[in-house]
Amino acid sequence: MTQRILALHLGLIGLLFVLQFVLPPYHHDNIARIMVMAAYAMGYNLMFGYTGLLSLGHAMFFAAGMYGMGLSMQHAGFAAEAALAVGITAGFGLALGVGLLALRTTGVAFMIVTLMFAQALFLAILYFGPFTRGDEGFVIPLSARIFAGLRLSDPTIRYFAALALFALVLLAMLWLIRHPVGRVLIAIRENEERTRMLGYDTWRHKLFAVTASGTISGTAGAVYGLLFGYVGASFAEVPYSIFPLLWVLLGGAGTLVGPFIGTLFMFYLIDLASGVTDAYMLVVGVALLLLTLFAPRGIMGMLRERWLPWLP
Amino acid sequence: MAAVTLIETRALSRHFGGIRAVDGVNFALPEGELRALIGPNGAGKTTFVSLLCGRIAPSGGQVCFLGQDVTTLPAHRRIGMGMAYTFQITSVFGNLTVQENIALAVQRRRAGNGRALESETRAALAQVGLTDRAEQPARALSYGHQRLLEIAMGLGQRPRLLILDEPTQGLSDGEVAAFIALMREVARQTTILLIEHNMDVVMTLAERITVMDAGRIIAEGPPDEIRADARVQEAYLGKQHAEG
Repeated sequence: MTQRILALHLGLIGLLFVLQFVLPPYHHDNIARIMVMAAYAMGYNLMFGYTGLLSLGHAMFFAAGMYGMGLSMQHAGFAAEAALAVGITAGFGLALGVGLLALRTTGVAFMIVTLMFAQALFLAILYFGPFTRGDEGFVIPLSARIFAGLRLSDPTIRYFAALALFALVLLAMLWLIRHPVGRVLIAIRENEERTRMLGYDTWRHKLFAVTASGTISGTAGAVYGLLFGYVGASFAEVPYSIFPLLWVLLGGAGTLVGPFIGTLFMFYLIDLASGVTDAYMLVVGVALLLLTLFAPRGIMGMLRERWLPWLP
Repeated sequence: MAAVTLIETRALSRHFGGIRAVDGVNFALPEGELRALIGPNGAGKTTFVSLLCGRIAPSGGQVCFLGQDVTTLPAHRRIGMGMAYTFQITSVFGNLTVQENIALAVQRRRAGNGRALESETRAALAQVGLTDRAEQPARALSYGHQRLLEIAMGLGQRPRLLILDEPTQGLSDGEVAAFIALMREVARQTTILLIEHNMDVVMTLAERITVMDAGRIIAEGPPDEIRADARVQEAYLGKQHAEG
């Protein structure tokens, strides 16, 4: 592996590790959230940025992980470790099922099918309100948020837990896209017919991408619920399907650190703009427009194009 | 030379609406041969080879490869059995480097073996003379070099049967000469089915020629015979060739 690639990614993880000791509490909490959301965005990026499959319903995987974790705690009294496993499994199972069905379509139809599945899950959460607490959602009690003896509600531990998830997903992605399977995913994005005519079963590879992407997203959802103590239907709604798309587009689709950069950028853009004006969404909208116009490949995509062609 | 039949079709047909693009073709290609497939535009050549490699499904008939009926197998399985197909319209991975393009072709057989992957990729690069351009993105190559890259991607698969769809289209004279030399070399280990419009290339390279017109095979034989065949001249070669 090229040393500078490894240095860049380990460096980012190291930087985030060091930041924990210097950040003031407000930003400390923000970065922890951003790292979990960046893991979600990296899951999205695997499908969208690397395989070329545009999903408009990724909130369903995030919510599946979150609710799988939360409901198994709430109703079956599972401990955090087992609940996390249930959440991850829920994300995996849903992604496999949705993949098997949605991959019968391509292009726009695929986008619509994913959108519809996500809406169906959101409405199901509302419909089974007595069981899921519907719109309101539910809080995960402090006493349940203990993982391997560590209090996840403690800011420092929460930060390191978020960093652990982020680092794990980042390094797994780095490994995957350099692995032969990852190369085939990129080939599918570039030219699916050509890839098929090189003898690759493109359908299976796409199913793998959807399943892995959904599993990562579900894991992020479960961890988010555990770290921040709340499970709610808003995480299954359309905005949470659109956010990862925006984060990835901003940061750079098909780049490894792009999702993190995009999540960080948008989070602080909203944060800063809302401190200045009530019309902060207008500021955000204009900023997004400018980026799309002048850096259509996103921040990291532009860096790669101009100066750093080796960026994975 | 009683060679084994590598690929064979029986009554193979493909209709598009009312048009019979391929119409009951019986075809056999022995292992080790370099066969040219010629015919006027719209004769059904590309459709025919697409049926061979499974890019499109037949309306009727059978395809047998290596003695096995592959009619219902999807394209990637047939490729996996040892077919390789290079596209008529250049179809490379434009945003990937030349080296990455070829590595993808090699990788299917060599996924678990980094060293073999690298050496076979380098060999295919060298075979078509693109070693110097290995790190360039494929889209930056000239048209002729992209055609060579297509061929290298075919070679990188080390196929039993290499199907080339108009590989010399748009190449300069010098590039065509290099292509002929390359094919002579490749033909020593590989069976080749070559769709080609350039008659010099066909007459120089082909051991036998199959002529298609209106979805059917109208003639088949060694170059001299085909050149003298009246039906072929009428359908395809035109008067100049008949006189010349």
